[in-house]
Amino acid sequence: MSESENSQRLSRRQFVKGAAVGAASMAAAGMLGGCGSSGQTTPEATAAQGQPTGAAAPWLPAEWHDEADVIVVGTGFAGQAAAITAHDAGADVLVIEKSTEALQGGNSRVCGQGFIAPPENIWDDYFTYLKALTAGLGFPVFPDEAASDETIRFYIEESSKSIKWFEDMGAYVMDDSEAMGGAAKGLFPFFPHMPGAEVVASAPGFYMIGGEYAGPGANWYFLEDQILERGIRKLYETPMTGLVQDPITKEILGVIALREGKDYYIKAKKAVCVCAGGFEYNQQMQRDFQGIANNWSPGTPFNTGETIKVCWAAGADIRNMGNRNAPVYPMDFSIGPKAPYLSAPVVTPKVVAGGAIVVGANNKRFRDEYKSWTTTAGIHNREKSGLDGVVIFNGRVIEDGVYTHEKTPQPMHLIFDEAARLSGPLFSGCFSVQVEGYAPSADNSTELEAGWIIKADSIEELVEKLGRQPDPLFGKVPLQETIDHWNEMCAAGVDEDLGRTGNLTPLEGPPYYAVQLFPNCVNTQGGMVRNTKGQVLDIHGQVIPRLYSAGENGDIWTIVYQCMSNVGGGCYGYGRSAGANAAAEEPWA
Amino acid sequence: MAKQLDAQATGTVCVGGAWTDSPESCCVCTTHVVDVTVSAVPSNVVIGEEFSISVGVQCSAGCNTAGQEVEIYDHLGTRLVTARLGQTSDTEGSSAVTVTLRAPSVEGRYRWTVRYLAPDLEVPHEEARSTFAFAAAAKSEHVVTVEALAREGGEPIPEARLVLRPHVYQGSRYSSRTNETGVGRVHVPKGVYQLYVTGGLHEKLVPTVVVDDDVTIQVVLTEPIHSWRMLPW
Repeated sequence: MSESENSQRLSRRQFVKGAAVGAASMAAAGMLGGCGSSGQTTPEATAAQGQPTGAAAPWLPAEWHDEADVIVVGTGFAGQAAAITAHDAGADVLVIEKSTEALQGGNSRVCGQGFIAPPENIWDDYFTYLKALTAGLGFPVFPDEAASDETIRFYIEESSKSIKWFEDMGAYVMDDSEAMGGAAKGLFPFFPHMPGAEVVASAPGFYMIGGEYAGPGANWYFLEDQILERGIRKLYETPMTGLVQDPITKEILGVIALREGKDYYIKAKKAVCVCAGGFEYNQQMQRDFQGIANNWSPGTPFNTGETIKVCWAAGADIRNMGNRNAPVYPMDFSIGPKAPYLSAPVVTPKVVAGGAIVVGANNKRFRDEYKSWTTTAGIHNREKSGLDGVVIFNGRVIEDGVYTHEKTPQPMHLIFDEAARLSGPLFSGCFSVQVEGYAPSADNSTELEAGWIIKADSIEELVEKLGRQPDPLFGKVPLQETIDHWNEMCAAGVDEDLGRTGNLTPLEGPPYYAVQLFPNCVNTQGGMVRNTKGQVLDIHGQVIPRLYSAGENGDIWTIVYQCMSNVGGGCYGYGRSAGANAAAEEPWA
Repeated sequence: MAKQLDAQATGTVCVGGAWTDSPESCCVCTTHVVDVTVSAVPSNVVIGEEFSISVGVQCSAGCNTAGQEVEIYDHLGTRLVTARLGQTSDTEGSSAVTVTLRAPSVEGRYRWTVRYLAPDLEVPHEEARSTFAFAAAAKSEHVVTVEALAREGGEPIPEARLVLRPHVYQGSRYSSRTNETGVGRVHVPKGVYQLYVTGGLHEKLVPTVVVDDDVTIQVVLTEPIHSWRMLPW
């Protein structure tokens, strides 16, 4: 448990005991439906614990443990933007964060840092382009708050303000050509066949912070310095588990957090801004909303979706829960979390030498292991966009003329030989490397020793260790048959099954190696519906008073996603809007 | 108003300010604008120890500000020191002073304020202020020596940028560049760091560098300069 040094040096920590609430209270979470794990209780249970109930405002706790004008939940880009903006508007801001101080920052700390910021002269075309994208790219998506004209225009205009916002704080902002040189050419827009895309392509696709901050996490570290310099108070290891809500007016009055194993009630005198990211590390939500099992992210392991559930329980409408951003196979596969790291590393099947194939549930190969968004005709290629079989960067493949999830026939394994193992590092990571300190070994020996790689001295032993015995009932062929077939195609120089052209090298052993593969979900898009003020809306489209949100927990993307967009719009744009409007609320107490 | 018109007619100018138009003060040239700049701020200072900054003051009308005072305030708004400006030979009306301050005793990142006190002059001067930021951290007792090698052939990379950031980030980072032999040295406190090296068209992130004594690391820059920027968010 830790509290930021800022707060210690400012001596601003306030424990507000015996709040001006009558004797009666109850844990509000009990009224909201069981969310979180902090022992939220029913009124009866609360009374049994010794907290009096039954007064004029029984939804208020008997004791507030802390308070602030604005409570910001989360330390990613959206939380940073909301906290800085609310603070600069004069509000006393408290940020609460689920992780430790060392592991804070969410996906924002490890993402590519790019943010869109369309110049004003292309706003109309950018609107046309985004309107087409959020309309579903072939799926009929009924207009809603997520894709309304007002929302999309707000998204574009607020994104564009991010450059000046950063520069006013002293940052050096560079565009994509300065950041990446020729490597950025042709990357944007992601969907060049959409209306407006040609004009969108005429401007820089994205921007990021350079100068002394240039490098991984540049934007996040710059904003973190701004938070630190402002002395904005933070509480780490303090996950939000509930909201204190007036059941009549639906007004949000505070946050219930879990701190040192106990419920911790924080009064929000003006508002609460929930900026706690998506649900990449909630397997149940991924199964239920996205229909994908064992779906792991290389990002923060603290995006577990509880805050979305808490807001949902408080009456929030939710949207876009089925949309996710994922590198299309075979860019990289997840290997799931591997101790001591909380965030899942990834593995590439594109070994530079030696034999390597990927097999699915039926022991057969299912896609060209070397086909990738950077080297093949993906959606970035205007001439081929829209064609069946074309893959796009963010987890979609076009089938029957529409975008659908890439196939991930689990269980999947990467099977390779000794030459492949020694060909270079197969593993990498984002959060695990940049924040948790994972250093992939050059010859994969560390990963072999750690048990991430399974070793066998024969195909028979490999089959036994992987549980890949043939089963005609499910069309599960002998693994030996697949390997033999692959080796024959390599000898012939043609992959007649899947058209792979990269590294047609036979698998030669023993020994043989295998790594289990999982789908790789980078980030989810779904969450609370909000208006352009960042206010969270209920299922009737009405504002839930004093509840705001920003970031990837409710972005505008319906079916597809264009990378770096919710950084500019969802995080910075909505974060600033939520922070400013939250700070402008009249205090309820 | 008549006096103002007279003054304007005779070519008297109100530099950096403006003539007021109220009858009571028609002939008063309003406040001169003053710029305060802070320079030579170390990016990291040692907790509890003294450090120095330079403060410069410039009147837009070229008034002599030497002998006037600036005040330094900490993050809590406490006045730490008052310093008298001295004459500089750079620009007419500019003055400067080097101020010695004591760093906070708690590690962290801070933003302090320099305030120029508007003196009681015939022509009023605007009060002006500026801020400066720094990180306060433990004393850098150890040296991390980095040898940066190119992707091809292993030749040394001169002028490679080295940045060490603590795993638990509280606003301090330590940077340097390699010399012509590809070797650079960074002084850091004991701790666990992430090392980022970039030079030419390549870069390398070393996720964990444990510093409990002087450390020497050879880093081969294997990744294209933009590799991490392609992370798919």
